[in-house]
Amino acid sequence: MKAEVHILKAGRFEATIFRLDPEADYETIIWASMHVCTHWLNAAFHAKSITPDDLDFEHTFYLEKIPDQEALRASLDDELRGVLKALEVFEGLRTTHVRGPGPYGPAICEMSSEALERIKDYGEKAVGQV
Amino acid sequence: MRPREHVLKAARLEATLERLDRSDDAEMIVEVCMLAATHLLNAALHVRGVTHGHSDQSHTIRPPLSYFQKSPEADLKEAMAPLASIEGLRPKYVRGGEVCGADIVEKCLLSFKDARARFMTIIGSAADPPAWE
Repeated sequence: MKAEVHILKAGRFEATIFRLDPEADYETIIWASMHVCTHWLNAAFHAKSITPDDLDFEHTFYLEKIPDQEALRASLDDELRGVLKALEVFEGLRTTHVRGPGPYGPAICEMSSEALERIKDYGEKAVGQV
Repeated sequence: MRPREHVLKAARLEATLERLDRSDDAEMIVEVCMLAATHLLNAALHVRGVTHGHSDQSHTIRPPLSYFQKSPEADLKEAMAPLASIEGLRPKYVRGGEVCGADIVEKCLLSFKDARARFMTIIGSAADPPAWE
């Protein structure tokens, strides 16, 4: 999917997040945040030619299936490693707190806000101003 | 998770669903319907002994139910169908770039209502609070 469409979808999920309550709706916020991040990262990957427009990854554990593993490894600088670890934050939280009964608290809110901002910054830098 | 924990989580997600806008939050409506119905699926699977509390499905086919020794009965399989139709919306409208219009949202909500009713019939009193609560 083209980068600009990913960015549009990310924006819609982000707008949803702003309308929700951090305690009453934390499961949905976590899930929406994961989509914001995944869409931004796919946009960034297309912009950096790590993946073509017709190849989107859904989760970090699918990155091993990207055909051009050389391009992926070549792009794995410290910044991208940090960003992929940030996406793993949401992938982990969805297991414990959305599909699971994990107790929510301010620490989770802070951790997920930081991760989202990090990924969004990376995505915005990668694709330039849209 | 135990059946009651799944039902309580589904209830939280349904409460969020009530707060979502059918136009502005269309994609998230699909996701919340999927998540809530999946919790009810897991409760139903545990109640029927197909899976147990330590083994939850993330989707109707993940992991494949053929992995388990006991197969779901006909009514449970039928209850999974509307959830599967919600799951089918995701590649195009949530992860994909298609516009998630009012007709898709309506279809999704009707599927969720159907799935919910069927799963809750199967779950029955397993959703009730324990005697010590």
